[in-house]
Amino acid sequence: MNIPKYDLLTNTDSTLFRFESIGSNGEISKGIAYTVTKDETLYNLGFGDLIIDPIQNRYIIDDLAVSHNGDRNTVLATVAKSAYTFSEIYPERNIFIKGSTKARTRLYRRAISLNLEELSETFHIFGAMEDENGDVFDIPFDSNGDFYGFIIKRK
Amino acid sequence: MVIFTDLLLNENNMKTLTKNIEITKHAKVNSTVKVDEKLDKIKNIKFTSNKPEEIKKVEFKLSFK
Repeated sequence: MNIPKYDLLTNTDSTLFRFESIGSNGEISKGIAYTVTKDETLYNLGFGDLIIDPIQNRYIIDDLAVSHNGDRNTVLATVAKSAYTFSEIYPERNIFIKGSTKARTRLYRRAISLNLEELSETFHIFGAMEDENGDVFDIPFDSNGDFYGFIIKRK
Repeated sequence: MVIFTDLLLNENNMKTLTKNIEITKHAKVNSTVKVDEKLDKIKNIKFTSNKPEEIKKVEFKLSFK
């Protein structure tokens, strides 16, 4: 992807990534976590500000944070880079992407749409829809689709 | 004050962790991915939203057609 990206740090099994967003509001630690869903071949991509809860001595990914750091495209490209890395190591694991809000899910749809040609060189891309029972199924990605989320599958 | 001090210490530790790996913080087209074994210590990350919990309950019926 021909967009500047931040360097990433990852844990040994490449399920957790960390980088520093550098922008108008300073330096903000970001975390990306890939966690398995009920479908053991499908991993959820969780992303947000990486913060420490000093009281309980644990880490939190604040996926509702709005940073306004002026580097949104760089941040999204960096998250995409982590998906390339994760799926290169685990090509059998598919990635589920859903925003923490509907607006963010739409943002991700636009980002996928804008880079669809390049992403499609590496991934099969699907939209995720909910049926009447709340179960989620895949359909081919459509730039105008109103999706519950997205699934990318390494080719 | 104690909590605030702990937070500062933790933040300093995180920055030290980053500096030790010597990553470049400027964005670039060919960015790097480096393993940092210190991240292995981070377990059971919590999320602010309930999205991960919601997704854990979802039944996926995938066909990839």
